[in-house]
Amino acid sequence: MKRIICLAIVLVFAGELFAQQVVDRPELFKRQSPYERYTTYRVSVTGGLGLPTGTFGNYMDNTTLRNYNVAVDFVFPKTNLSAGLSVGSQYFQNRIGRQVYSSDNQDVSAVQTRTFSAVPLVLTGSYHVGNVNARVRPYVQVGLGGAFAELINYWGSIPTGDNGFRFVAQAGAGVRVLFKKQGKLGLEAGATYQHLPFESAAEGIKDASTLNARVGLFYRWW
Amino acid sequence: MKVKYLNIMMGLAVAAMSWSCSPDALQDLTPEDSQVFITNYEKNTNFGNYSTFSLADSVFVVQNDRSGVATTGLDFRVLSRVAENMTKRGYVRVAKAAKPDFGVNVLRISETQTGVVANFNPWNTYWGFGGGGFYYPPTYSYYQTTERYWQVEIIDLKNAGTSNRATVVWNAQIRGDGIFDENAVASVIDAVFTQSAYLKKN
Repeated sequence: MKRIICLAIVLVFAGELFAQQVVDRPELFKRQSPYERYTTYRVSVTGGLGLPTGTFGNYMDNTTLRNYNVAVDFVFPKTNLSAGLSVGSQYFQNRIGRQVYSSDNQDVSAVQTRTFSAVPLVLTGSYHVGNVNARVRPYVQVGLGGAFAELINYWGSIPTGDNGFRFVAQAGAGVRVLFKKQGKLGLEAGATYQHLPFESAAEGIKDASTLNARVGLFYRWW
Repeated sequence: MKVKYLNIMMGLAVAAMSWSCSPDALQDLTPEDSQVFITNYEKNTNFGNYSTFSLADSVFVVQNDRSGVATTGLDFRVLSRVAENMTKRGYVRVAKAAKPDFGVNVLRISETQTGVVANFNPWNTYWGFGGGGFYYPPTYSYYQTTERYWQVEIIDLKNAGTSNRATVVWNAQIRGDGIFDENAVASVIDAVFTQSAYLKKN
């Protein structure tokens, strides 16, 4: 008798358990993904080509592949916007064969090694096209910040130059592609114009602006 | 959650620090390419109007605030090369007593500089958060660099008159690696004359 009562109780509970599942599972799948409900996070690591422009383009006759960027963003679910912080590293180098540089009453014969490095710290804001969970999501981005910038022109092995903390403004566009639907990892590709005023009368430049084309990976989580 | 952001920020800051060290731009620079030849001249001087020069028989050695003379084999080689070049430009070498128009000096200069750098500890808890309250002050390192280079000067004795002050109308600095090599001195001395085409007698 006792055994039958026990069995009955187990059956009742079990039935209730199954009943609950039957009701809840479709509900579970109807719920929006967390990316659509909450502010989520995204980190991206990219690298690629750096192209000097403007007066800097005349001075630094060389592109670079030492051009990296790490960005962390808060991705807002409803507005298609994200905001974040990005840290970059850019290094340009150009060697010019022996030449005689003549000024007023001076002639200097030297091999020049022109280098420029910048570590921009930029606050960024992005607008995306498409839903937060779209597999392919193009974006446009603007950024404002500052950079530790250093220009060193080695005459032979004698360094001359300037360095300091400079203003930086960025504008760019790109696309992010998720590897899997609703996935976390994806491919990122984009191009950014970086305006960086860096005046040096001795070197004949007014700015050290660059065009950066980068590809890399991004990861999002919540 | 707040701590999580802070971790990210810290990570970014550390990444920025490690990246800010640039690669060595000069690691593939040959000694020849490291040589720099600097010549300055007095603009109002007409080098064609001078005809004779005298050259000391030793090299002046200047070491920070000390000075002396040297007569090593290398020094003689440099002196004779300078004399050769001056002769090639049409100037006649005469004794000091014969009232030369130019006085030519060769100097070996060695400058020692001492600098100080602060080594900041990136794990300094003063900058970070939490931690056990330890604070490591930045440590300081001293570094010393010595640069040795040649300097050649031409002094205007013609217009100095009886005064003790004469104008340096031309000077050349030869800096870089390998400039004290027996085999290189001839070419480095030639280089400063080559880039000074105006330095010749009419």
